[in-house]
Amino acid sequence: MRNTPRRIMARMRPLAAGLGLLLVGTSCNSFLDPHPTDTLTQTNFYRTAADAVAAVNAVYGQEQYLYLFFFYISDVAGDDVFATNNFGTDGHQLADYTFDKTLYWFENIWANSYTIIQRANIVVDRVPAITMDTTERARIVGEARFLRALAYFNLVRMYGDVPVLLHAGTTPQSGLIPRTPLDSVYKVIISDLQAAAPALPTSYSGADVGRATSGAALSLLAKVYLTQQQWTLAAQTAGQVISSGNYALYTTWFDNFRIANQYVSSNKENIFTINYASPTEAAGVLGSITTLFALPQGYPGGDAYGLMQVNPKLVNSFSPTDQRGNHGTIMISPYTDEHNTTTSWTVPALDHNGGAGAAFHKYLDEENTQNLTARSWEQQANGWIILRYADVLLMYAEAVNEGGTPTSISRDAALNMVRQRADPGVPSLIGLTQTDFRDSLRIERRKEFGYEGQRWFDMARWGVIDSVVRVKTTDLSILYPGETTPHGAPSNLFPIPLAEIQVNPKLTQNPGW
Amino acid sequence: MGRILRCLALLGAFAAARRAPAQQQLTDNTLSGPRFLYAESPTKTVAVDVSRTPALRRQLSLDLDGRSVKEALAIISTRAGMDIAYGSDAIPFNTVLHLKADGITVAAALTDVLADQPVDIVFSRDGRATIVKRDATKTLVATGVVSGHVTDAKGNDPVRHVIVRLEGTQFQASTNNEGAYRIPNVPPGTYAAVVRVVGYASARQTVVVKPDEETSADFTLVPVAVQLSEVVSIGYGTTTRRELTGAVSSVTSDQLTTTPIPQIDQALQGHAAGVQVTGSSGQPGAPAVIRIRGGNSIEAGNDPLYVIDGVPISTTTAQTSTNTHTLVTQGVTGLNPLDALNPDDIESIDILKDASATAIYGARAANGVILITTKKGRVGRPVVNISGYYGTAVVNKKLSVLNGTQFAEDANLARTNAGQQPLYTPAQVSAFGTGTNWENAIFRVAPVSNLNASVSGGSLDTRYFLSGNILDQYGVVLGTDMTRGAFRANLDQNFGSKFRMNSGVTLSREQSDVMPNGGNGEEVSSVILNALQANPTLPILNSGGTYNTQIDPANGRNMANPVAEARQITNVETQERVIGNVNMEWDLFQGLTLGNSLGVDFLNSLQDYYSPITTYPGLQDGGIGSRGQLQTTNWVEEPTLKYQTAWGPLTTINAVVGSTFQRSNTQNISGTAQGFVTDELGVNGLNNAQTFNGVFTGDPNSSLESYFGRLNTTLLDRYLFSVSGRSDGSSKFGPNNRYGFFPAGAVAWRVSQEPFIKQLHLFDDLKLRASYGRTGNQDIGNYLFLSTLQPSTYIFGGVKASGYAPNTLPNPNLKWETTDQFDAGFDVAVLHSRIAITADYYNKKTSNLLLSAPVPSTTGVTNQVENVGSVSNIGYELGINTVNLTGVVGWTTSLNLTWNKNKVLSLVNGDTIIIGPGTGIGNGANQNPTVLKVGQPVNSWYGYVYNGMQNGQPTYRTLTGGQSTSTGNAMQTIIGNAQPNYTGGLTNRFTAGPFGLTVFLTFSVGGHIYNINRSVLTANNGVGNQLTDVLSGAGQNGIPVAHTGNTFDTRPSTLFVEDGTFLRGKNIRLDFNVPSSWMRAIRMRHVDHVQVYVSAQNFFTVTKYSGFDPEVTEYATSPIAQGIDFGTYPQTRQFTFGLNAGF
Repeated sequence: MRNTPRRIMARMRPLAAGLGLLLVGTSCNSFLDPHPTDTLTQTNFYRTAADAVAAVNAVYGQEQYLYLFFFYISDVAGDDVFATNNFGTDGHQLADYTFDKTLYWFENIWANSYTIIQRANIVVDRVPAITMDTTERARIVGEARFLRALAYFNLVRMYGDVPVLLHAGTTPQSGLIPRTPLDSVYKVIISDLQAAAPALPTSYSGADVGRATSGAALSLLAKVYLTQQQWTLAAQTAGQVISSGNYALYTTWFDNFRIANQYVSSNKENIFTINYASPTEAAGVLGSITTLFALPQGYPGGDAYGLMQVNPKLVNSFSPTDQRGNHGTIMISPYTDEHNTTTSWTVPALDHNGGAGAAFHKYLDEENTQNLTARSWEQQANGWIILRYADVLLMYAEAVNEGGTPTSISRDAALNMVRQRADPGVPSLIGLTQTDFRDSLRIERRKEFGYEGQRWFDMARWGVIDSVVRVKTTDLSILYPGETTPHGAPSNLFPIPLAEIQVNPKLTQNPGW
Repeated sequence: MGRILRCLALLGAFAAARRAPAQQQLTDNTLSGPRFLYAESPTKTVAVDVSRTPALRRQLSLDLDGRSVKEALAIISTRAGMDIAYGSDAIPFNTVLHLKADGITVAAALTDVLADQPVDIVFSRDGRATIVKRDATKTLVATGVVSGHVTDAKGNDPVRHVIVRLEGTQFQASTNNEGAYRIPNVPPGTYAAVVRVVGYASARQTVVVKPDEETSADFTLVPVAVQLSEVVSIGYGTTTRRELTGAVSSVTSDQLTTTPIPQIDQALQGHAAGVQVTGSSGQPGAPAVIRIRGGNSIEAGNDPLYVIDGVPISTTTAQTSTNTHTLVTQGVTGLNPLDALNPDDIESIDILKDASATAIYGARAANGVILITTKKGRVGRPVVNISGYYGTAVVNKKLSVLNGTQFAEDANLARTNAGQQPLYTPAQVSAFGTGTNWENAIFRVAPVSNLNASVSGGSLDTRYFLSGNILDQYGVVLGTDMTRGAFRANLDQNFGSKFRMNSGVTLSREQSDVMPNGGNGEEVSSVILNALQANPTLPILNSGGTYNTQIDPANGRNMANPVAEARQITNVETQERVIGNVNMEWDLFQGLTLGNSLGVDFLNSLQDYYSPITTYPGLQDGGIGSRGQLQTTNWVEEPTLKYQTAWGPLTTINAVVGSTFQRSNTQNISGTAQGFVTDELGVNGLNNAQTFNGVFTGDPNSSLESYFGRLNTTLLDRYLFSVSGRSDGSSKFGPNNRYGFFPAGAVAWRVSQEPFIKQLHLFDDLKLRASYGRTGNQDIGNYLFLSTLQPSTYIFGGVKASGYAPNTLPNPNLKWETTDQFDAGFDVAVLHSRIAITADYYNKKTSNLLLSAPVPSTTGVTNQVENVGSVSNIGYELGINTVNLTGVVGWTTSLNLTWNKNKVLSLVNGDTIIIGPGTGIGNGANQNPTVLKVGQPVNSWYGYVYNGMQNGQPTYRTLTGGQSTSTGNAMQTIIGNAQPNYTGGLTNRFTAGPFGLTVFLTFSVGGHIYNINRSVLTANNGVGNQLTDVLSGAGQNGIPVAHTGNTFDTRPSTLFVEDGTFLRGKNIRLDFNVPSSWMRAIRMRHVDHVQVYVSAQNFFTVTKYSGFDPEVTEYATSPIAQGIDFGTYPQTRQFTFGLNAGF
């Protein structure tokens, strides 16, 4: 049947030629062949150094979408966040840990991660064939492998066994593959990071600041080892980052969250950050939503959605002198900002008795007038921090405490650097038992990284999700009667998105979902 | 028929290939031949210099062997393009000729034919030739007059504006308001006078014209409900209703212009069976949603193909961009492409419905084809027509919302119920009184005026029609309007006897101020929603006279002042359109015609948006503005070869083959900026804004290459066959499937022509029809089969960096959607054609739907456009036309009914349900009830089932049959759909003396409306204004008890599904045809006819729908989200006074 039209075409062509006396000379094939003039195609790209840079930039570009709502999973599903009435059904399901395999955000994270992997695979497949400066070419491939490793690391931590693709697919069928066992996924991640680290520079300058560095690759590798509980390798790799001398903590804790410090090479604390629209480059660049969604509704100066309330237990864990408390991670009503403007708010609540819950302050840069007063999406310049030096120090301390060999500073020194930077008055912790040190370290991680994309992964890594969820849901059911009933978590993993299983029957579901 | 016979005879002569020399030697001054004379004045003739007269020197090839003189003169007349008149007593016309000649001049041929006849040929000033007896030469210019009256069957009611023609000549005249006509300057002789007019059986009588005498010929016309000789356009040709095999509805200019609607798509409503037309909103210029035999497609569009005088027109005007803050998100939807056309320029609209009619348009025909034919000039003196109307419109209905005191009480109640302090003191509450009525503040009485003027006329070789139109329509919402200036020129020219050209051009410019409707979001404005929700205790203006945008104490936000938004937000669309065509035809042999049609459709569309800081959206952003421009050139060339012939008097063959080469080139650009230092420059100050949000540029191109053919035969005047096929190649499809073939066939049997039926004397016409065929739909974006790279941005070092990555997978197999359609129907006319019925059954199945199908995300993409899924449409259509009364009081009725059952048969990857597939419905933040479910119609809704109240909150039915206020364990199911069971139109026309009364009703039964407005207006949270239903209804019927923190329901449920059934008085019109005697009395003799009328549109509506109007569809361009009311511009009621006059 498929040939029929063509046969008829062929028969009619002579006739058309006869009529063609009246036509401008056009040959049939060129007349119909589309030549897109407003869009590029793969056939005329991946040829030059500029194409190679554009290809890897597109991997970073997709990271903005992955991390835009990442805190829904990493933090709302943790125990630091309660959903207010402004939050939609999805937020309440995450905060109450009552979601199921149909929740959109699991599909969102899954799909964005694989888009990143596909784009990174294109770089790994196509860039080596481009004639260009070899150092730069190796760097670009290294960036792609780092980003691919980061994507797989997120996937493997959230979903367990996941499909692994190391080359760019070209048909829908190329995606119809089963899950790869966890260990094999980790091998891919480690291999990518080990290859990326030597190919990447230690730092960048000018309009390249923010690309992946060797330090970023090593820090991520340390986290991979830590997650795998390979304490020696974790301590060794984190120690390598510490010993490099390339990184340091800001003296003042909040300085690392200031927008002005985000894009500068002088920032020694941030190791890898996902950047959103800068204050000067808003056009066509995605803005972040972390402040917009977290600030209390009615907070002056612009839109704020007030979706989240900070768990009172986290609020109460900060000592009054801790820089990470009020004006740091959180804000408490009435709140007086750096310009002496005082605001008070109530957490709007349908089914709770009023009163002001604390809100997240972490990304509100009160020095930056746009961040403070104009909060439309395009102007949100807050980056989303993936790795920072305080994390490396605490990873090192944890690895050493759990059995790794110290390769740089002591575990106590590493922990105290983080504690005392935030609260210089507190006495040093020295010589704790392994168990006491573990408890202190876990508390420290929670205080240091609240609303920063770490909490759920730490809980999963420590195997405490079920107990933490049990505590949180008990608190919720007391604070907000009717919100939920106390319950635990079905699994240390999230469900494989139902939509993916439906479209790829080779996928299996995680136990408990 | 005669022409076809002649063609056949001549062709036969060619086939004989015998070439005989002229039988007689001829010279111009042969005494036995006619003299060629020119009538300088009524009393003086001079000889014509034949050698210097091009019309007489034109060369013809003639085979007149065995022909009568009469036939020969007819042939020469046709071929020479010369009007030849004669009286039957001038010569013995039955003399048989023996003449065959190649390259003979017209003069020689006439001389030859009329040799030995005692006649002369006299030419008049306008080129007419009259054959007169030589002895009458001295009185040759003493012409006669034919005059008379044309009246209705009962003999009293005049039939106005019909043309009486002397057959075979160009002598004609039209009747005036008394039905009187007068044809002057007719050469003496015997003629057949003929009247053909829609609605009556044609009539003819013989008249004998004598010099200086007035011959009377009165006609009494018998009304019929169907005219079998009516010409119907079928695409690449025409046929008559008698010979039609397909399902084609025709709408005449009279029907179109009875209702004063300036857009032809809306004017089609209720006039054709199988064509469902729904007004989408009351916004001037808003498009109507047209579905021919239901919607076939889910994502590729359901709009029919529009072809104007052979030029397919583009229906894409809106900017498309996914950036935030673009024009689309502000409610800019693109002007209705059909706004460019002035309904007064339209002669007729033929709607092709079944596959046998549409398959000739192949891959674009699945949604039906609407052929629009414009008016052409006629031979004769210039005819000037002037028409115009003036009207005023008001909003059809207002909603009842709380007044100031009521609102304050409810706001206080919401707070006290939540344990909070009241917002207003008792003194304030009582002092508010009625407060501001925000609906009254935004609605107004809106004038509309429309003026048309046209002049047409022409000679035998050149005919013209020129028209101009000015429309000025205000909307009933402040700040909305539409203006149109349109010009149309048609020119038909003959070049000799074998070469013809028809051409036409429309130039038009429309500008429309569109009401902002960005939904219920926070950074957009919606005038209607804001007016309904605005706090009635607040004033429109501040004390200083500026618009009030102060903080509203009820919600803690700046006042979204609907009056300021309506007046101050610029939301203007302008489109300039040129639609032109040149069609050339060349008669190769008798019956064989080579044609070539060239068409162009050029569109320049500009869309401006600006929200100053005095309005809510601008306040948030320091002023925000966008400008977008789109320019499309769509050109088409269609060479055709047509052949028609006949065997005997009752068997005809009609064939056409041709090809289409079409290309569409578009360039568009749009840019958005915000943060303006001053509002003074509006959108023209984009480059001075602080933040440039982005610019979008596009350059999509597409082309179509097609070959088509059709063969129609009529055997013995009763067996009709039609086969057609089209091979379409489209640039939109993958290399593996670039060409599609679309065949169709039809048979029809005119049972009424069978002798055994004729004997019954029961049927004036009875025709059974059946057809089957395949059509396609290619209305998708360009390059979807390619893996294209999309730009990506990121920030390094505080600076923007650009990237590129593919965001689609290639799909080389991508092809058109395929619709297979079976149709069976009959046409019947009985009781002297006073009752005519057309009925059809159809069964359509559309498969290979172009759907965005989910693919494993592991490929890096989540969706790919694939050919999956299928939809069926099964329906019945019935059209009944009757002539109920004739005579002093005339009464005709026209009823059409359409039943259509639409069903999704399959979806992607075995899915049985896709929830919320309509993107952007409810503007993302509100309800999106749209669903696609196998077994359900497209445009179904999915949601929760309201199950009574509990603790002042609505509950929903749970899976176990209980009730729950949380939706966590509530059941979701299909809760309704927008598809009506049946729709129709009923027109009754009454005439009495000079008066006419037309009553036009439309109705739609069984559809539902999803009322998102209601969810916002019954949240009862003391924040925004509410329907007065919350006063008595709170705590019942789904309306929650007033309580701070109640949020408007974002969950689709049965609470917001309403019955959309309605019966509407679409138009009532009383016209008065001023008697000519009145005009003569006031010495206006040049006036041919004058008609004045008054009319009322939407003069009544019967519906249970609680919103503004049941004719509503906010997402008019979405194939799957019809029937949703969300801040939609309400429909209006209009009163109009109009006048038509001809000179």
